[in-house]
Amino acid sequence: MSQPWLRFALVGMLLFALDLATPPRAAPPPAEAAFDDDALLVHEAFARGFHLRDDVVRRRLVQNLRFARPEDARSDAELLAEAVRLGLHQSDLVVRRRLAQRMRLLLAEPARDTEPSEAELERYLAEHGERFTEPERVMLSQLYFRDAGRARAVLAQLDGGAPPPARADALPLPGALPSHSRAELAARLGPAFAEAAMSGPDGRWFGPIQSSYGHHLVRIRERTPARLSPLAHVRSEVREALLVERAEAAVRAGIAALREP
Amino acid sequence: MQRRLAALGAAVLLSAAPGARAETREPCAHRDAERRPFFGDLHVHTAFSQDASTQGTRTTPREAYRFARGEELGIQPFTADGKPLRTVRLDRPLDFAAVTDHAEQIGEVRVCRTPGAPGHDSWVCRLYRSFPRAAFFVMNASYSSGGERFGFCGENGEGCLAAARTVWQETLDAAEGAYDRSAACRFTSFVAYEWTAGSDGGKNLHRNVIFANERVPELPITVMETGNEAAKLWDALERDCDEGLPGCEVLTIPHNSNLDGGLMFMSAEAMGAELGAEEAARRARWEPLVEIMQHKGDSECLISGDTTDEACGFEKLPYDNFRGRYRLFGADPPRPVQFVREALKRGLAIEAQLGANPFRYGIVASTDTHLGAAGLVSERAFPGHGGAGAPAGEELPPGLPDALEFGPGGLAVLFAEENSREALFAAMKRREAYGTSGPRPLVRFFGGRFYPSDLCERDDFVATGYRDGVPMGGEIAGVAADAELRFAVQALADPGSEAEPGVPLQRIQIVKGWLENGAPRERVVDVAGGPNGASADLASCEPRGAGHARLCSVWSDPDFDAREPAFYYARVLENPTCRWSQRICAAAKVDCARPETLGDGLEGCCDPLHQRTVQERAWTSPIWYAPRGEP
Repeated sequence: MSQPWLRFALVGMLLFALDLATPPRAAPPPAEAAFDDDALLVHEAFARGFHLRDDVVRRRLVQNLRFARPEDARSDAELLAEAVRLGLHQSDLVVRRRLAQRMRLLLAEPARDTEPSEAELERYLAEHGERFTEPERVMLSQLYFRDAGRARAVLAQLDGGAPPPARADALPLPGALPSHSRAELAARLGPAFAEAAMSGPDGRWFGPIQSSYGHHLVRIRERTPARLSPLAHVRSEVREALLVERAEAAVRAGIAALREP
Repeated sequence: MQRRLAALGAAVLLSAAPGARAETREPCAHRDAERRPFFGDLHVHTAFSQDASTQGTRTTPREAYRFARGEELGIQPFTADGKPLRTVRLDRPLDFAAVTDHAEQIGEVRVCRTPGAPGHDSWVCRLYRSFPRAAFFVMNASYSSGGERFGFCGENGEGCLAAARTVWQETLDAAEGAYDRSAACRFTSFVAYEWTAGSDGGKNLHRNVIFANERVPELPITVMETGNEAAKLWDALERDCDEGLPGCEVLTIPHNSNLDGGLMFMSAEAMGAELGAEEAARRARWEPLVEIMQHKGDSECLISGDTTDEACGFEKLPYDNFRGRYRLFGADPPRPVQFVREALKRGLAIEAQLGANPFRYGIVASTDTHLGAAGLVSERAFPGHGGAGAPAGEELPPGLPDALEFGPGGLAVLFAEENSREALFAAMKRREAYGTSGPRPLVRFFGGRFYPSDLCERDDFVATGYRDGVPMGGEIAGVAADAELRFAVQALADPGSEAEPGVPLQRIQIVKGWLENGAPRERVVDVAGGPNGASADLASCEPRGAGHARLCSVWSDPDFDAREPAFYYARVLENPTCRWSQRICAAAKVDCARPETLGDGLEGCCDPLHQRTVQERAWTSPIWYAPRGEP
């Protein structure tokens, strides 16, 4: 008993034994669930004889009967027939879940196995633009000043046509930033900076804009408006979303058809 | 996965960086020659991990990656019809992440959760479903006692191994689905797992195994095959990856030495023994990084003996191995030998003796979340990370959502030219990395001989840093006896987000370790900023006092001795803020002088060990000085 793990194991086993000693809960489906989609699918699975052919279900039914009647020496096939005669397949929760799941897979199969065409992917992308939109991006240059007054003075020189100064104050960020979205700018220089920089004019110096670090003069070199991602960038996401949607629709249609034969 | 790769079609180019292995992807549209910091989490558990699943976590790896990229995630507890009672979202998505589920028992868990699977009705699986908490201990005891799998796994464990293959394939598919192979380079995932070794029922020797790309062995290596010595893990990875699979590349990251009972920084071949020369060299190759801090506390340093550094009193666990967590006997208070700074110092001594430094560790931090909530590091509204298998039950428990000594954990930061697996993995290997306890300050650290004193006033800090020296993780080799050694370090405060403004910086410190007549020594120097009296109001959790948006220094080591090996790393401290636990205690208006204010589950608020504030920080990888080839 020197191993604490062992003591926990024993406590665990004790709890487990208590669980076994309590009478098993009967598991007939509750009345209101008897008419739900799963019940319908299970009913259809029975009609198609899936409970006699599905490996998992067969094993489960045979195991149940062997557990209840350890002395019964009949073959698996005979026990399965006996289990079905007794209606065990109707009441076992695992069997019902398995059959409902099989029916759903069966109904979804044609949809999942049909590879969408290029045109279908393009159409899906266009119809779900909000999920596949690349945000607005800017490429900007920035000059950093610890002092706002100096930033304003330099801006006046730039407005007068002077070239950007060779040296501003030091900040370990590049003067010419590569393409950034608003969120990426915010991550680098704070949300207030991102907001002000994105809403500035294109092609000329403006500011100073305050960041967490000081004051910046900013020039937007290039702006790419928000746009729908090209299919090449998001092909696998679009394909997956389309297949999932089609599979769900096929299952819904299948269930509807079962309800109104 | 093949379909996906094929779908990239003719547009795919090989982006071949010189000297690196090419991967199949579009080249990133933007490369930054001066390297950018990318923020991520290299330690994430999902429902595939036995300890996460036995406490009600339902997050799949796919969902964990989606969360890392900014989507909302529902977390435990769940209602009977599967609705989560809590949701979380990152206000700043991550740049990269690795799902690192415990390799041990991924198959067993899958069997127990698959009705109809052979073994599903075994007593272990029934225990797992009925009493997950008890199953957590039973299942842990099974694999950590070595070798044998449960009987329900069938002949030679084949049933569970077959299930494990399915789970591993799903892990690969999730990583592939999350990896942005387009030119936008928005997110990088890594295929990974955790090898969960330990000793004496609680001494932690865990490693995260991170693969460079999607070429990986068909199953993770577990302690069931290797036993608890990491050298056996490396043997197996050499066999299955480096030598057995073209294009496969891998490294291992040890974590939580604070719970290792003193074993992590000893031999990985013979438990508890000193290292030999061969192992010392091998270890530095396998383990370029160490996880210095996470959900289960800080492993940097301990105030004791030579270490008088006050900032070491940070997120310390009061015990030295996992038994302490469960209030079991066999746990002691922590000792210095368990901490990374001590290992860095001993590494110098071992190198002087054996010719190789086994503990040449670069630094990262991560979360070790067991909710699949990658990068959820905020102290605000911390929902717990479910470490060490604590279940949330079926309703939201009142009070503190996690053990008092645990926290949200930290982040790994990698300097790379672009956000791709190739560039980030290369950064890990060359140790150009730092760890943070959660916030995102930008820290640059360079070492060399000729940095100008006015470098902080110039706008070519980074370019000069690279040109005239080495970045964090690098080495400066032997210099003349009268040479000077300089360090250029700069930190920009975390700009924060709209929901959570950044916190100003308090100071930059340089931690130096060196050998003096063969004995390890250490010293901590404030090189920019300093004590500023800043604090947090414990009732409102509002910050008090000013700090710095930017700190910078070019520091010359006045005691540099060119004959002695040394390492230097930078530590950047923010102003103090309320810790996650104090935020909850303050919101509940707990007053420890009035016991009637102490609501259910809030007992920890008045625990004598309760640290009410936290001083968030970043630790850079060290720069080593080696007196090799001295004149």
